[in-house]
Amino acid sequence: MMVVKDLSNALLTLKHVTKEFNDRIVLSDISLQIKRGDSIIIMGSNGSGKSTLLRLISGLIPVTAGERLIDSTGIVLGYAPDRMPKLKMTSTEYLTHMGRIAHIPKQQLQARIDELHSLFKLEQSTIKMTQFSKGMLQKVNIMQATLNRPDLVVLDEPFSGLDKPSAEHLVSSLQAIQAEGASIVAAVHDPLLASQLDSTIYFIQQGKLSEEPMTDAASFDQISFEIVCYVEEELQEQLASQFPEVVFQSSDENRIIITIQKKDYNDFMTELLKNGIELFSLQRKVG
Amino acid sequence: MLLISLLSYLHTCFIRSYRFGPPSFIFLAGIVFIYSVVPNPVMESYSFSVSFLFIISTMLSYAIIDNETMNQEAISIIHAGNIRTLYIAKLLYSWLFTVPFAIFALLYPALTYKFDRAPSITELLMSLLYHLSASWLAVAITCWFCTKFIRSRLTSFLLLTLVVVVAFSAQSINKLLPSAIQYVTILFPPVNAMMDVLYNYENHALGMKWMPIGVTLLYSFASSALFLIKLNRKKQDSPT
Repeated sequence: MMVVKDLSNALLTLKHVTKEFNDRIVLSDISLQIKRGDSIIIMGSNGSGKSTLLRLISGLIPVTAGERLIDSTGIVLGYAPDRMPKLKMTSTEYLTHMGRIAHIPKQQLQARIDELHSLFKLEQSTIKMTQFSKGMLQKVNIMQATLNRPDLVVLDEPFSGLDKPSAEHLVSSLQAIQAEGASIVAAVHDPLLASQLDSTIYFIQQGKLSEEPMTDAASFDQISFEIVCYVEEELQEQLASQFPEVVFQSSDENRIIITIQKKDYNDFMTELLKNGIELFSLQRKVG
Repeated sequence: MLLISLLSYLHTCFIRSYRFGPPSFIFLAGIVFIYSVVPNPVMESYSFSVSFLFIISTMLSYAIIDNETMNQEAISIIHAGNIRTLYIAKLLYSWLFTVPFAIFALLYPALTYKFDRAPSITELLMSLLYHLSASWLAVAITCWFCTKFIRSRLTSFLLLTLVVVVAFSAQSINKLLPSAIQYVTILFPPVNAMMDVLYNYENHALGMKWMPIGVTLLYSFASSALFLIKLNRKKQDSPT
């Protein structure tokens, strides 16, 4: 992919970008301009192409058609993927490696690592990241993305797996990063957290990017239900074959988290209750 | 400076993954075992250790090149500035990791009197170049079997094994092929030529002794350069 320098005042511009994987169009005719200080939230259902769009913005994958233009003076970019791998090193060791690779001078780097640990309330210890909780890993993930004081921070599901206090703390940390002058582009699943970030919200649906909230008919497709219950393996297999779009995930204490789309809700619930399944929780989700 | 930072990071990750253990042990134990019977002819023995190092180097670089997860690799690319720099570091690190093995294969038999005579300095230097070229050739071939190009680890491992077998059987395959298509064997990795010259070292003129090193370095340079060009276009796009 050719990176073209942009002469407008935008940090990064996508012009009529299309992305295909094996002849399947994932993103179609996407145009987006990211200016200094912007905060942009990308919303959409699972598999809608949010992560692909973020990877395109970051330059990690090439565009199939269209152009990715960057500011003519060049930009510093930070990227936090949806999941941080558990590496066999401490957070300080990891950030030191990433900082050196990013050409940050030694003394400046140590000061920045200390500052980020204190901002994210993460202790600098000898504990390796293999023993970190999901929340701690997510903090390190965002710390590495903001290590080099980037002009643009791209975050893929930054609140994924965080409990409420951690998510709230992350919102305030992101606000602090934004106050330093960075632009933020983030894919966020939870509309409540998205609204707290005071951003321009875009929706991805069927590969198209739109600033308009989805129509009722479209949002109907985005409603899902999350059930936590205990289901015998045999019944689980039977339900999985009967409802192929329903997602089953193992949870703690042999519990199963089941995600159901709106269209399957009535039939699936009937089937569950018919089999005498007791629910631990039921949650309606939008987006 | 950037390359040194990347090499240091890749080294930390690889050493702590312990994935170097099995190939390293096989090589070191294999060399000690082979030289447990004495005396041995000098250059013929080095011919064997060159081919052994070639195989072990494919195993090591296969482990190094995909040691990072996809997400961590994305982070490394962003900090390094581009995917090409990261992969130059990965290829270089894979080769550097094999250098101590090359030196061990060279010095262990020479210093512990496992040969039927003392090797000359010229022979030692020439053999070192053969070992280092062979391991670089292995790295330059193995990079094509990373998950960027072949997603299934089983498929890539089997294909890489096939390429290694084909490389060693180049002369036999050449004899079996009809004369019209025998030229295709020049595309095979030139391991056979290296082994052949070392095995019959005394019978070759000086030019012929240097030729396999030149051909191997040229082949390796072309292979790794093509790989980096293709990777730079593809970036983190993966096959399905």
